[in-house]
Amino acid sequence: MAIVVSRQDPRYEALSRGHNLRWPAADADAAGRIVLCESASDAAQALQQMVSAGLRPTVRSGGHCYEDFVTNNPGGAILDLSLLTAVGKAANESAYRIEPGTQLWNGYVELYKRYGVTVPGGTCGTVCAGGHISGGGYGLLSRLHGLTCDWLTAVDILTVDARGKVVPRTVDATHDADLFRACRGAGGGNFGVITSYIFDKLPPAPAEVMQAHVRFQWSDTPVERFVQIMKTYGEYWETRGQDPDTWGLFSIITPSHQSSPGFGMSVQFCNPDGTCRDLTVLNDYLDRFIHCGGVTTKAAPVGIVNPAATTGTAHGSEDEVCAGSHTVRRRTWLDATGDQAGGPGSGHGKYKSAYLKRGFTEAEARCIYKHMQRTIPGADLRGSLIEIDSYGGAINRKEMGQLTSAPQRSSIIKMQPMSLWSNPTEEQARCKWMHEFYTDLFSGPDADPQHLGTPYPNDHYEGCYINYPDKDMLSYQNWPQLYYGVGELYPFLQQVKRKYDPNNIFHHAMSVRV
Amino acid sequence: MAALAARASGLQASAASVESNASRFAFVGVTGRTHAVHVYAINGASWRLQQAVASKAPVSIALHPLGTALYVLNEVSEYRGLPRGSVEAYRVDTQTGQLDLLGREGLSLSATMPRHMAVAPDGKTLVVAVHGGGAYNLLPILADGRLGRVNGIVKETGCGPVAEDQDTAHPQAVLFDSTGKRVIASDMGADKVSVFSLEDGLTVMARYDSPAGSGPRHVALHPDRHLLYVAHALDGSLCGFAYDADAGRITKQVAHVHGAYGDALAMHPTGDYLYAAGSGVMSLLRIDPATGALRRVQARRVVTGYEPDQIHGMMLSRNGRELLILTGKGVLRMEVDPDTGCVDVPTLAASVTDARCVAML
Repeated sequence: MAIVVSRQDPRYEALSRGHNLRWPAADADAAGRIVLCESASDAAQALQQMVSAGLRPTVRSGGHCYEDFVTNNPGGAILDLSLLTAVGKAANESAYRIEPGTQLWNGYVELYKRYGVTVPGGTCGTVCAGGHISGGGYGLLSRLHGLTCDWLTAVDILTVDARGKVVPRTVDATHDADLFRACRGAGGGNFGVITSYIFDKLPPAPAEVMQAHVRFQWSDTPVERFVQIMKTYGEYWETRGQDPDTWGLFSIITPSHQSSPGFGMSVQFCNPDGTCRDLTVLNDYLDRFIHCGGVTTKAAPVGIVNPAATTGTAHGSEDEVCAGSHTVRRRTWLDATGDQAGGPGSGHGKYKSAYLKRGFTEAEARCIYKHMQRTIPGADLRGSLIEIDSYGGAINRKEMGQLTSAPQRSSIIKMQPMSLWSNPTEEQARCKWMHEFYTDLFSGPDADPQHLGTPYPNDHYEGCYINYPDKDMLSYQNWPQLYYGVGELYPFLQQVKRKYDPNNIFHHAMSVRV
Repeated sequence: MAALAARASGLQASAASVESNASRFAFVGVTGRTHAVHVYAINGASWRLQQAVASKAPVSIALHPLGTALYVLNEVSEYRGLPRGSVEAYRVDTQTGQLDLLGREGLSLSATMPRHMAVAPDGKTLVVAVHGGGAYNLLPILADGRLGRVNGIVKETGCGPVAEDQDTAHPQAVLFDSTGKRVIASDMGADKVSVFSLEDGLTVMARYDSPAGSGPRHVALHPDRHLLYVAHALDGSLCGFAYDADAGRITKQVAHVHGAYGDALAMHPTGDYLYAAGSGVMSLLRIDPATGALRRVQARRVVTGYEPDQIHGMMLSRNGRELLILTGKGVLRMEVDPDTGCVDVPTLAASVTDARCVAML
C-alpha cells in the first residue's frame, strides 16, 4: 500500500530532499507530499490519483539527481519508488528484473551471488536503478561490457494517455519500440514511471580485479608536467586503449583544485575473461606514467567522492603484488566494488560533464591546470575537481547509438567537473568558478566556434551526459543537441514525448520539450 | 473579459476612478509587427495614443479593481531559460494613465503559452488559463500591486475528437464568479467547463462536459449571477447554463444556439443582451429574462473574417454605452443603443495591427 508523507509527517523534511541538499532551494519549491510506493500497482494508483487531482508528479528512486528535477516541485507530489527493490529472476522467468529502487550495490551483490552476473553500472553504491539505467548508466566495467542501457531488453512503464488515464505498458523491441528506445538513455522524468527493468542476459562479473592508485603532488607538478600527465592519459585511451584486450582496464584521473595538496589516478584492471592472469596491459599502462612524477600507492586518492573522507579502504587483508615496478593490489571483484557501497552521502554539489573523442591537447591541459591553480579571494574551493573517466571500448559499438537514446559512441574520455561542499553560503562562488572553468575549457581552438563555451559535437567533442545534468546549459539554445547529438535522436524523442505523454505530465527543467 | 467580470460581480471596494461612468484610458495589448501595450487617452469617440510599452505577446490584460495596477499576460514558451509563460505587473497612474513596470513573474514550469487571465474582485489573486502547457496557475497579488510567485497549480488532462485542436487539454478562459472565491474556466481541448475553488490553493469543485468537439472557449456571467454563457470555438455554438453560485456548480442547460459565435463574447451590464462574434460577424442576442434563452436580434459584419482581418475579442464599457471589438486592424468602437442593445456603424478608435485585448480605466 502506498504511504503518503505530507507536510505534517515527521519524515517530510528528510523525504522532501534528495542527496543534493541544495534543493528544494526554498520552502515554496517543495513538494506538497511524498508518496512511497511498495509495488508497481501502488505506483499506478498513486500516479492516477496525482494526475486526476491535477498535481504534478516527479519521480524518484535513489534521490541522486544532480539537479532539482525531482525536489523542485512546488505543491506537487514526489512519487517515490525507493521501496521497489526486487532484483533477480522471477519464478517462471529466465530474464533478470531490476526494480527502480534497487541500489546499485545491492543489485551487484544479488546478481553476483545468485547468478554470477553483473550490470555494467556505476560505482556509487546508493544510486538506484531508476534514474541510472534510464539515463544510460556506466561504470568501471563499461569499456568491457557497454552501458547498462545497452543490455536492457524490456521495460515496464506507466504512461498517462491524452484522457488522463494511467496506462501500464511493457515495452520492448517489438512492443512500443519507440518508447522502449527512449527508455534506453534519454533520462528519467520524461515519459512515464518505470517500475521494472528487464534484461534477457547479463554479462558475467569478473572473478578478480587489480587495483592501482597513482598519487601526484601539486608541489611536484608544474604545468609542463601536468600537461605530460594529461597527454599520457589521453593518448592511451585514444590509441592502445581501444584494443579489445585492454577493455578490462578502466582508469579515473581526478585533477583537483590546488587547495588539496595532490590528486590521483585510480585504475581497475582485469583481463577480458574476468581473471587477472596476465597483467601485461596493466603494467604497460602504469609504465607510461613513470616519468610523470606520480607514486603508486595502495590507497585510493582523497577527494573523489567525499572531500571529508580519509584515504584508503580497510576491507579485508591487503594483497599487495609487486608487478613490474608498480604496487598494485589484487582483490575479488565483489570486494573491490564494495569500496563504494555506502555512496557519497548527502551534501551540496554542482556537476557538469563532457565527452571527449580525442586525448587532451596541450591547450586543454594548460586550461585545466590554470583553473585548478586559480585562487579566488574569499572562496573556499576544496572539494572541487574533475573526475576524468576512461571511456570507449565496448561502449563504442556504433549500432547501440541507433538502438538506444545514448548517442555518444565515439568518445574515449568522459569528464565530470564537480564541486562538493557543505556550507550553503559557498554555493555562488563555487558555481561561478565551475562555470568560468568550463566555459574557458570549451572556448579553445578545438571547440565549435558557433557553440563556444560548450563541448558541442564536432570531431573533438561529443556533448554532455544527461545523467550528469547541468542547468547552466539551458542558457544555450542548442542544449538538447549537447545531450542528444545533432542527428535524428532529439526529434525522435520529441515525437515519443508527444505520443506517449501528450499532456506533458512528466516534465522538469531539462525534460524533452514538447 | 476580466474587467467585465469585475463589474458584473458588483464590486463594492473599487476606487472612485473606477466607478466613474466614462472611461478615460484604454490599455490595449498589441501583437502585430511590434509587441506592446498601448495606452490611449479617451475623449468621447476619440482615442489618442499616449504611451507604448514593449511587452512580449500581450494576449490578455486586466486591471486591478482599484485601477492602480495593470496585469499583462505574455503568451510565450520560455521565460528566463525555462519553459513557461509569464505575467507582467505595471503601476498605473490613475490621473495620467501612465504605466510603469513593477515586475514580471514566471508561471509554473511547463506552463507555456498562457492564453487568458482574470483578477479576483478583491484584488488579491490572479488566475491564468494556460492553453499551451495545459494548466491553470494562481498568483498572489501583493499589497503594492506586484505579483508574488505562483502558489497554486492545476495540471489538466483530456482530449477531444478534433485532432489539431484537441490533442490535449487547452484551457482558454478564466472568470471569477460573484463570490470572488470561485473561478469558472473553459478548456477547448478537453471539452470541459470547470469550476475551481480558491479556498486552499486552486482546487477543482465541479466539471461540466461540453459536447465532444465543441471546444468551449469564452465564458460570461449574467450580472444577476445565476446564468453562465459559453461560446464554443470549434462548432461555433453558444450555450447558456443555470449556474448555482453558492454551490459553485453548473446545473442545467437553458440555451443553445448554433452559429458562428466562437471568437468573442461580452455581456451587457444590464444582463439584457449578449454580444458574440465569429467569422468576422458580431451578433447581438437578447437574453430572455425568464428563461435565459437566447434570440439573435442583430448581426453586423465588422471585418472580412479572413486572416489577419479577424475578431480577437470584445468588451463593453462599464456603462454599456459602447462596444469595443479587437481586430487584426485595430480597435473598433460602436455606440450601443441603451433601449435595444443594437450597435451603430463601427469606427476605428485605434489603428494597430493585431489588437488582442483591452482594459478600460
